Amino acid sequence: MARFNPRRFNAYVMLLMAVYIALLWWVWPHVRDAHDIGWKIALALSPTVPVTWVIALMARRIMLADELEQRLHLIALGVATALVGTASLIAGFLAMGKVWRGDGSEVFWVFPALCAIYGFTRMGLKRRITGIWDWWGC
Amino acid sequence: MKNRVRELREKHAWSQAELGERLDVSRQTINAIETGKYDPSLPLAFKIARLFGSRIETIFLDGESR
Repeated sequence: MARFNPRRFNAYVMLLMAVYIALLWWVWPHVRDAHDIGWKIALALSPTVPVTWVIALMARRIMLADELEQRLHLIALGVATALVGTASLIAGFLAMGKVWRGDGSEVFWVFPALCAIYGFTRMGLKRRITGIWDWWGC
Repeated sequence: MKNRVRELREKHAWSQAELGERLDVSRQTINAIETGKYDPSLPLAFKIARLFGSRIETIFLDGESR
C-alpha cells in the first residue's frame, strides 16, 4: 500500500494554508469593492479552494493509512471537532446575547483552529502509543 | 492484551519494519502491538497468525482467561 509521505503531506498543507491566509488578507477584502456579481462570488469563495484541497488531501491520507494510524487520525479529528464546535457554540451564544460583537470574520479561523488542534492531538496520541515524537506526521 | 509477536518476529530474524512490510502496516504499528499499547483488529490478528503459521490464540493471550 503506497502511503503518504508525511513530510510531503505537511509541505502541501503548509503551502495551501499559507495560500488560504494570503487570500483572506489580500484578496477577500476586495469583495466589497467588486461590482461584477460573478467576480464578487469568485473573490468571496476563493479561500474555500485551498481549504477543500486540504480536506481532500487529509481524506486521502487517512484512507491510505493503516488501522492504528486511522484510529489516531479519527480520535484527533473527534477531539478537534468537539473543541472547535464547543468554542463556536459559546461564541454564537455570546454574539446572540450581544455580549461579544464580532463582524463574522472570526469564522475564517475555524478551519485553521481545527487543523491545529487535530495536529497537536494526533502528535500527542502518537507519542503516547508509539513513544515517538512525530513532528512531521502531525 | 499480551502477545508473542516480538518473540515470533525475533525467531524469524525480522526487523519491525520488515514485519510491518509483510503485514502492510507501519513500523510504529508493529511496535505498538509488541508493547501491548495497541490491540490489532481481528483481520490483522489473523494475518499475523497466518504469517507465523500459528493459531491466533497462541499468539494473542487474553489476560482475563483462566
